Amino acid sequence: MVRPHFIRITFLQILFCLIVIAAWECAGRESSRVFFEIGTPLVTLREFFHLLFQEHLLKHFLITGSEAAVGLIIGTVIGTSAGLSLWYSRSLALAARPFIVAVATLPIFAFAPLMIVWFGIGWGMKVALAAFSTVFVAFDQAYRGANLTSSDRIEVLTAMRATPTQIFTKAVVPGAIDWVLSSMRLNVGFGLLGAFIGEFIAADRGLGYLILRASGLYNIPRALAAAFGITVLAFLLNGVAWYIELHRRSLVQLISVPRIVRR
Amino acid sequence: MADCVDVRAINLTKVFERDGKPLTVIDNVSFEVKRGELVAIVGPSGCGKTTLLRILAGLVKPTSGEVVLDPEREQSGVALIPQSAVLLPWRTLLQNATLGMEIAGRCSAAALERVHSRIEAFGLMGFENSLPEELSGGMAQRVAVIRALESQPRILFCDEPFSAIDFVGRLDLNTRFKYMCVVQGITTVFVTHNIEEAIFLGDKIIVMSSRPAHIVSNYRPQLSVGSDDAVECRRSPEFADLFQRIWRDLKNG
Repeated sequence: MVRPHFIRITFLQILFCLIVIAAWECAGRESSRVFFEIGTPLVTLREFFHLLFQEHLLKHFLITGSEAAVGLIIGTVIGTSAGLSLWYSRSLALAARPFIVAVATLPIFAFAPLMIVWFGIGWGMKVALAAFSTVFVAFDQAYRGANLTSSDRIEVLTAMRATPTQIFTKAVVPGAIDWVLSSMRLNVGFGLLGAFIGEFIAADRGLGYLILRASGLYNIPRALAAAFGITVLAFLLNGVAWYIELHRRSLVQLISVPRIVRR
Repeated sequence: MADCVDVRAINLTKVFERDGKPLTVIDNVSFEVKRGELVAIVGPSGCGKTTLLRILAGLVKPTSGEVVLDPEREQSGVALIPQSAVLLPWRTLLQNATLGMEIAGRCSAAALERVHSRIEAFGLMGFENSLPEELSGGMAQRVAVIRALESQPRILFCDEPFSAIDFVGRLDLNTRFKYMCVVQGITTVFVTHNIEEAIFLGDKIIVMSSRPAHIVSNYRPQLSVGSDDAVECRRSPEFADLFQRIWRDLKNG
């Protein structure tokens, strides 16, 4: 059943899009300067189909998508496991803290040119850059989440003579799961950005490459059409992150509850 | 065998620092808990009972003195029932109830069967799949009791585990709790501010003073009627007598 206010909101959203597109179209037709700078919706649509059928837009889409996704997964896995495991050693965590802050606040893209030296100019370099730009956020969030475990919970388990690993899997990790998942949501943007910067530095494929080339030719509508591909990509990755967040209960059950009582 | 001491508190003193000044919370407390015995510690609110229990359970270090637990019994299982139940919010009632046996490595189909029957005995059936946020304070405390008992502990520390449960339910739980501790032969230290609860449950009662807490007196209740029933026991003349004496001790301590 669709609720009435849902219909109304969808209607408003569509109306809003139509107004913006119509205004854009009119402005582009009226002024040659506007036409030069942002084109019109119809031209953009034409360029989109051109990219789709003549320039293998789908291929570029999948390349950028895979760079961002693989980088995101690597960054999240490494960052999260490192951040969570620091819970085991309070003194190590405190000792590591200033270094982590220092590295995390560094603009990671300052290292982008070095990535070419380390990882070459191919697919791997973009993945590495995407991983680099996500790993610190994942680390920081996981570390914070793990260290926020309430002392009451740790005490009850400690009194039962639970091992550190039992405390870790039964109280620390499940409690930090919301932090880990919210870092993943944040990192969708950072992962995409990493992949893009990689493509801007050196690439002969990918959506970033398409945008760079189209802007080089002053073909703004084409660049916009490629940028639209990024939006779709961000939307998809966000959708995956949202789906995982939606099922965080099952995830927690899987991690911390023995099968005999699992739901 | 019957004379083994499972928990030994030796000259326990705890000093906290507050506003830069030392604050003595526990002052030279010594006592013993024999195997299978239930020792009830009564004292006024805020006297340091909880701190004492946390020291016994090994969660806090005493400033001086020491706690010695029988190593073999400690090895085979210790549990704590905290004052606020401290359930894990992502686990259902049933899963919280089984946490203790998971930690103790005693998770089996038979154990699960026992947990189910205990959930029923504690009046929690139908809520097995509810999350802690949906439970009342009293229900959560009952789950904490099951969690502790089902880990099959040899030594059990309880911090006012029935404080959030209504009077009638509390009497019922007292009866069941005592029965379970006796049947399982659990050595128990039970902190409470409720004199009647202490008289019914305790093989031995230790009365504490207000801060800094020290031991005022010791009693061994000998109830002639209903020592296994929290309601019946009130008929015995010793109950009323002991109540008066402990009440006086608390007031003068």
